[in-house]
Amino acid sequence: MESVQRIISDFDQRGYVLSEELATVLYLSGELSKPVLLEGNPGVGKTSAAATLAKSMDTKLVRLQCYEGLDVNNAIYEWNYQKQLLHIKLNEKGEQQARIEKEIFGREYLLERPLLQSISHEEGPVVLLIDEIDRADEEFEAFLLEILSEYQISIPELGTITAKHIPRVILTSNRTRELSDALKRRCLYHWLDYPDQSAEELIINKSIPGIDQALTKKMVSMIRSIRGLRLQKTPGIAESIDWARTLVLLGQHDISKETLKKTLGVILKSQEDFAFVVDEWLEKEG
Amino acid sequence: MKTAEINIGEVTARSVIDFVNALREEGLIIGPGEVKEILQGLATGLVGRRSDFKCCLKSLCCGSRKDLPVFERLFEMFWQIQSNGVGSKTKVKVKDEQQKSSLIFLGHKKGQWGESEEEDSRSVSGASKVERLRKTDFSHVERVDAALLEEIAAQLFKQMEHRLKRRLKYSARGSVLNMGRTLRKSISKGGWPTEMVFQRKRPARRKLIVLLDISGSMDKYSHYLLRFVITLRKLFKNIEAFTFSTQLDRITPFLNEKGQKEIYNRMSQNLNSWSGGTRIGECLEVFNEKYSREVLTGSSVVLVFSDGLETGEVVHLEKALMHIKRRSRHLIWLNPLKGMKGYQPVQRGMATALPHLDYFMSAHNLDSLLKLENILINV
Repeated sequence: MESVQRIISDFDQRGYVLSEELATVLYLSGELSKPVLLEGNPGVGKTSAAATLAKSMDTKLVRLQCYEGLDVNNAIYEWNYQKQLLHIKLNEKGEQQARIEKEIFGREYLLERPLLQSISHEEGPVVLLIDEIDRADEEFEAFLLEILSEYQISIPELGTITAKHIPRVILTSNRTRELSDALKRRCLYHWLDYPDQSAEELIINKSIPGIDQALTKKMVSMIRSIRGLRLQKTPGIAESIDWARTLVLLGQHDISKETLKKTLGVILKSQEDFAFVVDEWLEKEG
Repeated sequence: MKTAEINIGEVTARSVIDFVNALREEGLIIGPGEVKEILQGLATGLVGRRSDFKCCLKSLCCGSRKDLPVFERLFEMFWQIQSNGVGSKTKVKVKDEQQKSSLIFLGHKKGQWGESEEEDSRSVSGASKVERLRKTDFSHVERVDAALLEEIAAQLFKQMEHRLKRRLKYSARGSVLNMGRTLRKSISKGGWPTEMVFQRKRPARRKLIVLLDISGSMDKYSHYLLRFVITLRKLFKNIEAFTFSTQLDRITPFLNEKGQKEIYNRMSQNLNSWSGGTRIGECLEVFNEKYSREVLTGSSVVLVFSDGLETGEVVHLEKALMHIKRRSRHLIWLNPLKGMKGYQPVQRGMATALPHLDYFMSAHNLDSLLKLENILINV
């Protein structure tokens, strides 16, 4: 498919190696105006996929980072209470109450949070990234459903705001909890896995142009076997790029046992993992 | 066959619907809306290549990682048949036969700890039979009393559910403006309430994780404990439950009255591994590896129901418990043996576990289970 290939090359130009499968999903989400739900281990490029999509569409990326206790005030809108108060105070004398009331509930006094921002954007559709949706409460998820199906938000004092352009929505999840079926049903689902050997080599080559091919090959295969171990925190793509950068900085052309030990801190972020890899894995691998 | 191109002419709306129905029978949730969208997606020209076609179907039909293997299997089966030109009505065989029900699991076998303890239940003095049964060790319940105990348990668990619900609801009042504080704060601002103070937000209800030992040594208790866990399920939306003996099994999806049978079925499948004894440490390690990243947030409460009779290496147990402890708020161990007179947690397993626990409680009769309520109220 031509359009799918175009997405791949668009992403490629911006340094993101896109699999054909994800490209098809992104293409479909545009065609069907459906959100995409990206699941996968930390560090496989879920968030940067959204960022790259925004870049390739030449539009703004609106990001909503979810967390436990995220509420409507922080996700949609809030009245700028202090500004309202100030306005009342300034017009205290001799003004008509009704006019002031009308004024202080105008757009000027509205603090737009990500969801409202993405809907009220004037110039073309934006990319709305709802990051780590699994961290938000279930109540919020239910609320999100409403917005994702209607693309409109009603503010009692102002009326209903309907999206001029339907945003491209990307949700990401680390699977800390199972999402509701209703939400999943409204999305296109894609499981983003660690890239395979050749794809990861390509990613490294793209991020660090001019890196030794043999080194890349060796390093990627090593990191892939480290990922296969029982670790508390499995290194993602960001870690392998960091590692490649470190090796280049140190002027290494091969990865000896010593080098690995010295630079392991770049890819492993826990003392136990570190000890495990050094003591058991390294000994075994020789 | 895998790379065979799908003939566009053969992919009809009818065959897509048949395929979706096959997926539905396997438990995937696909509404008519999705079917419409699949057909829309295909209409944009994605049918040409098998991989595009598959990808389109996959992203619309699957909603979770666990759906993927089901999809893969059915896709290969279904569209292979399709491209061979065999009729699309081919039924995909779905369920394997019902497993034998497991009354064995509930069996009132002879107690493993000699006759002497048998006196415990008889010597219990109580005003009434109900009172007595509440205090009777589950393993000593006589056959005649079993039905009655079942009834009392249901009743008491229900009462507990009510109490907990009421209290949770009270504390669940949302954020309200605290007028007094707001006024007090405004004094320094010349009487202008520039900063509003809100009532403390309700603490987020924590995740509850239950690990239930179903090994042979626990068989007298497991049934009641399971009932208790099902009650907990009604109270905590955020619950994850696992059973373990020699292997770990996630039972969260079956935690309801209907699913109970399914849990027994699954347990009976593991029956043959009973003789192997309990490998608590290894099972917990599997839990850590497969599930802990998903279910253990820093604020979760972990309940372990086990007698702590470890047959594996205790090193595993210690390591696994340390891991869990670090990633949870409370680690609570409920040991039915603790209710026995003169019980000392000196066996290798329990002794290893003890330093890592926040609470060590008994779980041998109804009353002891109900005591957990006081801890859960703060969860």
